Amino acid sequence: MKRLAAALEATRLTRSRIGKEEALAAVLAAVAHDDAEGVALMTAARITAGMTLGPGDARPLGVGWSLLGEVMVDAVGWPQWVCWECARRCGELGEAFALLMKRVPGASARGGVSLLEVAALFDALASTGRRELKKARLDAAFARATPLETKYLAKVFHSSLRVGAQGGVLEGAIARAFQRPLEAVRAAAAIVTDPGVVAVLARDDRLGTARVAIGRPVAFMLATPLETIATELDPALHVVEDKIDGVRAQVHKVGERVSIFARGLERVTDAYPEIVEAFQLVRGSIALDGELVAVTPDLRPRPFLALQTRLRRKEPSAELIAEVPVAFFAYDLLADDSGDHLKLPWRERRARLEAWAETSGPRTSFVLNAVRPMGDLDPEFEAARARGHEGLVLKRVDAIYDAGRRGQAWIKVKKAFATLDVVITAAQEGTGKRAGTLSDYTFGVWRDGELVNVGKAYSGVTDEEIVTLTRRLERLTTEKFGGTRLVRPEIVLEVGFDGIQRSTRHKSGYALRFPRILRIRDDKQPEEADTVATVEALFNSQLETGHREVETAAERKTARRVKAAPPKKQMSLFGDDE
Amino acid sequence: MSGPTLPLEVRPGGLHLPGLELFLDPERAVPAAFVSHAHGDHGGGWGSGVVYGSRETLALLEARHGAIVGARVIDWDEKVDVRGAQLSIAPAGHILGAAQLVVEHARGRFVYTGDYRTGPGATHAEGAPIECDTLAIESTFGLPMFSFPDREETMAALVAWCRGVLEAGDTPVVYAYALGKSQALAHALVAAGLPVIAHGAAFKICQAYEALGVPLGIASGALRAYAEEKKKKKVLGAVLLTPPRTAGTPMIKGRKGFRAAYVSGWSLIDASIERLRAEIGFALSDHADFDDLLETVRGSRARFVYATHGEPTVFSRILREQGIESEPREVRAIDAAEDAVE
Repeated sequence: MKRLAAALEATRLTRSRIGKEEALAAVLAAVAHDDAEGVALMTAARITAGMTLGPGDARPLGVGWSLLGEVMVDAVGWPQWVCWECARRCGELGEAFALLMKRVPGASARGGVSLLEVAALFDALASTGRRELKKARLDAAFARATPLETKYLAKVFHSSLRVGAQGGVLEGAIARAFQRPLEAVRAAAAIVTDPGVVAVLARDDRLGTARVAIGRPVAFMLATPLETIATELDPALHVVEDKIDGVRAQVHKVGERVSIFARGLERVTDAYPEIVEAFQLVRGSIALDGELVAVTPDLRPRPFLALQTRLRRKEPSAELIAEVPVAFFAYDLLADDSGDHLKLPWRERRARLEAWAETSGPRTSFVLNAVRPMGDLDPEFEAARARGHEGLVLKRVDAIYDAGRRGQAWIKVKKAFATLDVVITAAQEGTGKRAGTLSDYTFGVWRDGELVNVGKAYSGVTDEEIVTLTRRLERLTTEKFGGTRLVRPEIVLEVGFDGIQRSTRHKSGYALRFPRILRIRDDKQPEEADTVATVEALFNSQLETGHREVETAAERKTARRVKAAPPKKQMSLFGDDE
Repeated sequence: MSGPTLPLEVRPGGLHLPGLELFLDPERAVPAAFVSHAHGDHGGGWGSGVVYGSRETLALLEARHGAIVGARVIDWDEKVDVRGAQLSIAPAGHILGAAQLVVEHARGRFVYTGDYRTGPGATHAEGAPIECDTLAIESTFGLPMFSFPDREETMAALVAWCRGVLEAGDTPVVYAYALGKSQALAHALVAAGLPVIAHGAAFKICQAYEALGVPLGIASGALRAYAEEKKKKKVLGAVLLTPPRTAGTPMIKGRKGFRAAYVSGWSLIDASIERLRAEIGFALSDHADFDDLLETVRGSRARFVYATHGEPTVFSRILREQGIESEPREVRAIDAAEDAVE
């Protein structure tokens, strides 16, 4: 663990992506060196990804802030309120824990904990529900951890290490560590979604054997917006499905156990007891891809807004379940008792899905999403909207399930004009009715791993949502300037707009016209938000759709100015204290 | 419970000693102000009717704002009578000219540290605890997690890092506050034989320091101004000393081989380094760390302690829990005034 913690620290301080990959590759290779069982390597790779147990392990770790806080108090010898103040100043607990640990006599000279011990710790924590047993295990570990180990061990319980190892860096590191093609590592990672397993497969040169394990999520195959597709679509090679207006999910069932995974591959099983119940009764094992939707008693979809009341409840009450029942609309089959079917063409997967749904699919809370041959898209789209769906998805009948990819095999047709998923980067206090709340949201999209703003919106959210958002944004605040706060980019919004203009005000170089918030996308991770490339494609597509006219010379000049304009003054985190 | 021998209030404008009708480091012009040092977040009272301060502090304020009309220098060995009390100053360590205010009055002695650091410094006098009855002490790093490593070792590590970057053919960019930190670093880097180029804001203050009798190496050409070198296209091959706010500007961003370090007590917090896109932090501060603050409180033998600037509420509660009578005096944080002289 000592080596890993040092490598994570080096990764944090390394600015170049290659440097990060090299630092992590070196430690993974070193850990793998004397690790016949692969447990240490598996643990190292998972920790680097911010995971404790593998994604196929359904057991909750049960280490929340309050438990970790108690452990911290006992480990560093400062009262709880001092520990919390330090955590507040750092913006997170792990760093504060480590800084206070440095003061503990002898802590820096400790031998540390091994990765095998850490693996055993995670397992022990998951194996007991008893808080005092968990605390004793944690106390023992932190009594031996060095300050740097303390930092990353504490951080991993909250699954964000903040060392910049996201976005494929870990995959790159695994490829480097064992000299395997990056493409092979990525493909395996999309199927097994467990960096620990990927690392071991890479070490053993068995990446090609990566298979779906039912009970462990598969990275979702994603659809490309129609606006960004330039080529003509062949109706003979495509089918049409309604685009369901819910949240993407996989339902896995193996033995008695049902697992539900959301967009970010996180486990949300407990949030949908009716789905679990329905699947418990089916025969055999199965892994399905589809959408969770709020439904009427006769299984017709209700608007997304209805589902929203369920989304933020980890364990909904019986009343809420009765009031807002949810159904699973299945549209793909990933694996069943006969194995992994990702490499089958869609046509064959669909046939298996239909056969299974007919003979042994659940009788309740389950809908097999209908599929039709591709015809004229306009009436199809209107009909789908009339049925209460969001739009259409076009699927290539000969395409494999390309896990984790946004390819052109699936194409989504959403709105007359597109929407964007954006991340809130700053919030401003409202006035009048909205005084005292944070009701104006500045949001950005991704460019080269950085969020660049594309607009600001304050309409579309209910008063209730504003209150909730305010509370969340207050917790995410990193800096305050009068009524404006910069926030940690964690909240994803789906915004609608009337068009896109060039802008010198926003760093992205574009501004959305009349943006309004369509919904809060708590089912999405910030990394899943859209990119400047999408905005650019939409901007250009306005020409073809008649949403925009050919750029004037003045506009082109503006565009050039955007590129040349120096960035705004860097806002200092701590002001002029020194 | 003995209480303070001289009460310290917060009034609109800032900290205020009611008996003396004197503001301490007010944020704006008031009738009478003591300015402990020339940083922007303490020197807002430069336009006051009377501005008490050390010779160096007033000179640095003038370098920034022009003539200080109300200037009233307190010499380091002088005592000034104000409404029946005697004011004098003692070094606060922090930066050149930084002074603690000592107030002798009928009921005892009151000391206000201003921004403060113990231990020696090459560019300014050493700060040390002063015995008193009531102490008002800053609390910038008033949390126990702020424990700074040995200053000399840290400085040596910074020099070694700069040298390594230069030897690799790259440019070391050192982010440091323009007033105080930049001069301390320029002095150390030049002494170690490294050429230094300072951003205009920092360079101007370097000139002011030299005018006040602190040689930094401008005469020998070891310390040069960025603007001049840029014209001559000689920016490479030297340490670039520049304020944190220049991070992300074209001066730094996207420049080939520019590698950055953040030199500040705040570098102990990861997000500060991340924000500047630096690759290393050196926790070299012009402030006392938590232990030094505690030591100063104990060394002062004060029976009552006010905690000011920084984390007054937290630090004062820690003092109370250690049996020291204490109250916080929260002053409004001043935004954004990052560099003392532009």
